[in-house]
Amino acid sequence: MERREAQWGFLFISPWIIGLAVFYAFPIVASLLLTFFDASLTGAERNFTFIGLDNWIRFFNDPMAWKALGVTVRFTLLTLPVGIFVPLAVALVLNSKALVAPGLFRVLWFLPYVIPFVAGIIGWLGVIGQNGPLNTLIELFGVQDAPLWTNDPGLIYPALVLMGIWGIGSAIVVYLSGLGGVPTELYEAAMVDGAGWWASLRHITLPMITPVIFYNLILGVAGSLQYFLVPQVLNGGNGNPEGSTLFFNIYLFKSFFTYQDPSYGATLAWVLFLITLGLSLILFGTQKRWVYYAGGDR
Amino acid sequence: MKQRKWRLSAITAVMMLIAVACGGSSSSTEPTEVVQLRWFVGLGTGTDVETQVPVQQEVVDAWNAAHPNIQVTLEVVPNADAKNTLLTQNAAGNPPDVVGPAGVAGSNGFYGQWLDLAPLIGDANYDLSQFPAAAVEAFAVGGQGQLGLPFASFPSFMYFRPSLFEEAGLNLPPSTYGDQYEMPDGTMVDWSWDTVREVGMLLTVDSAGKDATEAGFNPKKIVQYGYAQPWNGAPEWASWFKPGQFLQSDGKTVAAPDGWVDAWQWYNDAAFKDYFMPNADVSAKEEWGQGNAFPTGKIAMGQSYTWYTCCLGDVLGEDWNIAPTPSNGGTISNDMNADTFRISAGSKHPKEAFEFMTYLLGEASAKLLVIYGGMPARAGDQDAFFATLDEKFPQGVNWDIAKASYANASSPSAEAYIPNYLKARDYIYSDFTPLLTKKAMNVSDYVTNTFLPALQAIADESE
Amino acid sequence: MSAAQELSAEAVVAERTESRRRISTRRRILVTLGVATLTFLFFAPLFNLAATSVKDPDQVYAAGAPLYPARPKQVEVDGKDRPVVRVPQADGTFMEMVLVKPGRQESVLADPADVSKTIVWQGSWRTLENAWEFSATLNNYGEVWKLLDYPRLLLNTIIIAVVGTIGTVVSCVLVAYGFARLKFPGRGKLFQVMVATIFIPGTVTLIPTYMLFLNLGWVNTWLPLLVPTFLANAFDVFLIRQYMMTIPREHDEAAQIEGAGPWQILRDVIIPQSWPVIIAVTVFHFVYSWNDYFGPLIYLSTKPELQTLGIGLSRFSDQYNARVGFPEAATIMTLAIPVVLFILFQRYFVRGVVVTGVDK
Repeated sequence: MERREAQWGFLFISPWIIGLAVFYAFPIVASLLLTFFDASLTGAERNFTFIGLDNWIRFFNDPMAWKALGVTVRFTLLTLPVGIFVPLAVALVLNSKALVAPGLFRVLWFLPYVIPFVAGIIGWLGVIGQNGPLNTLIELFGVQDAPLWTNDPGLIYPALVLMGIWGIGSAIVVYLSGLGGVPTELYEAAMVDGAGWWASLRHITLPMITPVIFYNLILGVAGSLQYFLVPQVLNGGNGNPEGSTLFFNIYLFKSFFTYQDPSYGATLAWVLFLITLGLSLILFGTQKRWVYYAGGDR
Repeated sequence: MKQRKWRLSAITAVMMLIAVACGGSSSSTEPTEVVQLRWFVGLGTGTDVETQVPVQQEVVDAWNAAHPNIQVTLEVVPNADAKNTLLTQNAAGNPPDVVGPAGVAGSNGFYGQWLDLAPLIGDANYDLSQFPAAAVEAFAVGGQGQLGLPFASFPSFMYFRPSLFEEAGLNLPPSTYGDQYEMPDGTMVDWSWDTVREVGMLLTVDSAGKDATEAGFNPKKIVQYGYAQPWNGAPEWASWFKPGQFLQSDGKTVAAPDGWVDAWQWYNDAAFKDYFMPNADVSAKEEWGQGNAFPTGKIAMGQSYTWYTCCLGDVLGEDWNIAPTPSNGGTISNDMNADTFRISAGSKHPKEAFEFMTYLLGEASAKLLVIYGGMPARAGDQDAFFATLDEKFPQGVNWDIAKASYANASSPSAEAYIPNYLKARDYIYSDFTPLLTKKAMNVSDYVTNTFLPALQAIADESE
Repeated sequence: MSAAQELSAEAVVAERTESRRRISTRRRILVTLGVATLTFLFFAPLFNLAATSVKDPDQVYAAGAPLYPARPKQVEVDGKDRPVVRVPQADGTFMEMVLVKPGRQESVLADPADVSKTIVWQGSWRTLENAWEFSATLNNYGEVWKLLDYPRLLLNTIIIAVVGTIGTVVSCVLVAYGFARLKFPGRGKLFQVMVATIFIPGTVTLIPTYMLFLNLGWVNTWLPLLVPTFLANAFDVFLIRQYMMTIPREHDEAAQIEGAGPWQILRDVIIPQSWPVIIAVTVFHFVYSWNDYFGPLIYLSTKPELQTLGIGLSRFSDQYNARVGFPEAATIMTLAIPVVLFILFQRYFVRGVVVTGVDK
């Protein structure tokens, strides 16, 4: 009986097992091995020399790599809170009993999520552009020289966050489903105890949806560390203004392709992988302290 | 059991790695008689959908109709993606057969990935004497053989907009190399970069109508600039002051060529001290063309190459002409770009690719050179080329200037080789160049303390 | 708790509910207005895109141009278009005149109604404002349609998205069921491995994966984009599995007693109760596929006829950066279809959202 169930089990998960082997296990091992070689994969002569840990040592001594890592970390510190709390706030408002036609607004707030991100970039670039509506508004308030958002190292990160804001739809949906799962009796009980809006948010809503926050946090960390597409589309990954958009993944990609240094690119990819993995493990470690699972065991 | 699984995956991984290393050698070629060639466009000019791609397609269609056994596909990849696309294809052992037009940077960036054409030239008895010998040698890169054949040259000169000079009551720039320029007060001066600076300031006007030399001029409200530098990078900018290259004769050390720091300071001052050139923040604005300011019609002068005729837009109309490259300390430095087609070292059909390439260089060249804005390498074709350009720009552009620039091109090219070329070039063009017009600075200090050490570190990485 | 206390507690609840109802009319208006304003701002790029897409390029280069679509007024003088400027009059009003010959100290102006009547005006013409007239053009759309090869890009994108979504939903439901309900050795470990794969940066696997597809002869076909979807992905499996875990086991145990095998249980018990998450995954994957940029970029780079809208748009806006109005018109055309599709099917989606009390 158990053996038959096990057979069924393996049968059902077999598509994923095949995918794991073909698209993860082999490529990962291949790229890990690549980090120990000096490999030129292009050109007439394809050399392939074992160089031990040279690539890894080079990473520790590469100022550009560390600079790029710094860029990524700084951006993450800005985009991660936005990516977690803005959709949460929106979901809370959309979940409010006082809102008329909540269904319509839910649809509207998810809608931009289906718009291709390139279109989102072009759209938001228009809004924050030199003569766009935002700067016109700023000038109405008496500011003489309205800023050039994408050309100012101090403003480029808010601009990038804005360009990605249309992507919050999925997080809103996940939050909404989490909020829908909070039992109404809890609110009624709280009301009996005289709790106001803030108290029920603080003591019921937030604790009850910590699993969803945790879920978005984990995805957010991985996503921001691998941030790549928006700067790549925005300026071809040239790092401007003043190197502020030279994200780690951009530098990695450039090393891989543009500088034709696949083994060093693979090393950087592994560095990023290890950082992501480490951070995720730490976050999973803190989970017990603040994430509340209603069902007890997950 | 577990261990065996691990061993199995390790072996497969190694096999995968070998597959990576050997490229797509296992992918079989179709056993058909028709040879399929791919022509890759995107490293240089040739990607404009309106003016260039249709003509290139016509050229390919004509070839395909005449050669049923050698069918060519045109692949146009936008500049921004081209380098990575080509590298991915090469890494995967799936290179295009013919690549181009591409300039010096294109070839340096794909070091070791081009086919030596010498054997094919010998087999086909291709007549090299039709080109100037020096032009042929320019593509014979040390140790790698003859990587290209002369095709298009792009000499440089000063573009200018006559109506803006007239509006300011200024004389037009000289129409011949060696002529002097008459300033408003009647003094005769050399047509030098100093003169460009002085005239440029007179041609820079704020919204109240004051020029950059007047008291009360407001540099925050400029509506017209005397000079703008479209695209290009720090090496080109400096090469119009004095030719040079970063790499020293030992093949390892990089240094700032003589006179380049002063040239860069000239541009930095132009943007932040004399205000006759838009700085990076202004250039990025839509009303200043987002990096290509001259076609907005509000720029009086801009130094560039012949290929820049590609991108002058509609606003200028017939209101532009060309003038000599300004001199510096009495000498003129005419940097020149040269583009050609190349064959990938990994091409599976080099013989057919060469046949197609000679078609591009020969029969098809008249059509292609016009859309690329490149001067023909064959001296005999040049008059016909300028006649076609005159049809396109009927105002009577002073093309003698272009011919003179071509005849006196300077050397070495601004795109000369540096070890770890792709990374070094990326650093120079994406990091250093934008900084020169980003904020006022002492260029000499920055070059000594930051730029050269970083460039040296990049060059050393290739060890 | 005494009966009296219970009663009073009920009274408190009733009173509070009542008070909430009373406040809510004012609150409803405030909250709804606030949300509506935010929603408007959220969609600002769309309105701006629409306005820019009907603008003439001249407007963008000119200083002091209005935000609405307009073009500088011009009058033909001696065969050349000359700009119309607003000349301040002594009484504080403005008079529109044609700028015939600009100069530093004085300029020649003419009456727009009769250009032969000219005056010499003292002062710098640059201090004069341009006159603007409203002008919207749909030409950009027509030209973009021709240049972008829109219908083909659209069809490609739809096919890739639909097939990919089918593959994802089918394979992920099967795998999620395996993880959620069936016991087999190493299940916990394998599940952890699966979750871990979510965090593997795509760049780590890129080159070997590309090589694999190349050796299979799949590069420049849709297969690298489609085949992997049938092999499940960790993200969606995780989502579905978490949902299935919340379905009470008693249901499948009852079916099991009646002799149903795993297959029947999945079909008859689990799937009918999992629609919300299945719909959600369907929508998510469809959108993901629609917006996928990297895959088509590297696998279809040399086959424009197989490309998708996202890449087409990016390339187009790169190439026509200088032609103001073109990228914007192309963008509107690109986002129109997913938006319309979404509005058509939003009913299912909203139901999915509302019903999904995903208890993680």
